[in-house]
Amino acid sequence: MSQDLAPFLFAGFLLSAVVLLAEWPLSSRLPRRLRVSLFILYTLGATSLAGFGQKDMYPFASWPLIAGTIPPFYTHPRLMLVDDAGVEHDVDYRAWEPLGFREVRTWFDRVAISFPASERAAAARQLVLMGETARKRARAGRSVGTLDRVLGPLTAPEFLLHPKRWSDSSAVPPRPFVGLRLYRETWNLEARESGRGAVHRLLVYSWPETAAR
Amino acid sequence: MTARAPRPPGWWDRFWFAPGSPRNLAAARIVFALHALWILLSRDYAGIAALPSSFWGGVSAQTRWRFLLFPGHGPLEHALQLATVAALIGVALGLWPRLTCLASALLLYHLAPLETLFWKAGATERGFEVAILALMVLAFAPCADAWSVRRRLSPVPRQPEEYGWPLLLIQVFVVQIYLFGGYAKLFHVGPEWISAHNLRMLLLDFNQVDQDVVFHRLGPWIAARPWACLLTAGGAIALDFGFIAMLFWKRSRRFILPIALLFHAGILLTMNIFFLNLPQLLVFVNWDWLAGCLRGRSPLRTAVPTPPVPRAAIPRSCT
Repeated sequence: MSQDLAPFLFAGFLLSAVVLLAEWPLSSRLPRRLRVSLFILYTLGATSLAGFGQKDMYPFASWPLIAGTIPPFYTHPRLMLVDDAGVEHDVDYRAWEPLGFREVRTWFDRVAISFPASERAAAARQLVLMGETARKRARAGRSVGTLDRVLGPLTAPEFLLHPKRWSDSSAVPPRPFVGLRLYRETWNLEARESGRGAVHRLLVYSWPETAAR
Repeated sequence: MTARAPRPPGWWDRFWFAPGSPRNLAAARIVFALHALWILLSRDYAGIAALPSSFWGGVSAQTRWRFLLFPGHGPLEHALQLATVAALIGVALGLWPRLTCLASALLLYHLAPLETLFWKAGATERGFEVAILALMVLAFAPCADAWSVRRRLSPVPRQPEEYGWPLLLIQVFVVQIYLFGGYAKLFHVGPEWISAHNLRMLLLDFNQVDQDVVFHRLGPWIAARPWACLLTAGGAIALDFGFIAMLFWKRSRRFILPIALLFHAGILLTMNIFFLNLPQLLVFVNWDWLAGCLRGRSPLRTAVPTPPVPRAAIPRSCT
């Protein structure tokens, strides 16, 4: 529902700015302060609808920053790349640029996993290709990702920080990637903190089928 | 008998139409332009648009039409990304501000969703929400009357309030990040969000996923101490709801802004969250005062002409 309303809310914002704030022969008959007030009222209404209604209506945001509770058992998706010897490797977060690491992980776990088999396989194949290209770059001592091509070290980070696993070329997997696996890992936060908890790992998807050993 | 236009109430006028400073409004223009450029040049929206169609399987037709984003248009999106960079440079320099602000707002509205498009429709928490709204407001404000390479003062003297309300509205957008952030915590969780247990669980969550942990000392340290968890949770809610004071009591900016910086540094070190909107807090700085200090003389003698202030509109307390 909120996503249905969002484009109209933004269109109204744009339209009210153009009609009320620019000087048109018709609108100029109204006092400037009244027109500005109407625009402010519309804008406050739109932002409040998103904020107080807690409905995200981009670009009117609800800002649900860390607004949740964490259950004792936590489940986290993990994508791994598999080399031609069948060894799994964690991926440097820059390997799938221009996509963000968090975006790829969430997308594959929540969306792509329910694609028809052929489409899901095509997406997995593309991720393996992107990961392999990044691996080769990293092995050659070049930048792992592509987003720092303009601003270098001043590149804006992602919202959530991730470790740079392949910054040192000796840490980069030596063998080419040929497969991808999606796991869901579950653990008890308290138990893990005290060093007692085990991580239960469930293989959700593997590409190609032979990569799951 | 002539119909009279309705008048807003007095408190409304006093709040929204207090005189403003051309320089402070210009600073907001530059802050938002440079901030948007920083993120834009750190992303590759054209590269995302050029990904194979298999990535687009979960994007609904409604979302595609909403943002006019369709697969297989990498070169077009590349051109639009370059156009956005050009428009934002124009905004920063104060060149044709109505055109460049409006164009960059609309182009960002189109491009930014690409970052999350494959799994959700709105690119929230990716840095551009406030920028789009602010640039739209700036497009209809005299934001290039100061600190502009092509300054062209209006032939008709502007009312000083024309520099005030746009900046105030932009400041409201920034305040809403915190206000709605605090409200969301209470809305989704309730008062128990402000408990040592809840914050401990959040900290453990943010520090136990090895793929998302860069800083790993302070979070577990706080999580192990109930008093520190309670203090942190209470402090976070207090800041979220206290931030709005900066709109009504400008002197509060002197301590709320440094506290906010510390707060975000704390979030970075404990939860590994980099708050991309942070530079937007610069819209609360009094650039008139700062420029005066930097020049070593009174801000009243600076080069930018300050429009005459009508007697009826004496500014509220300025710092």
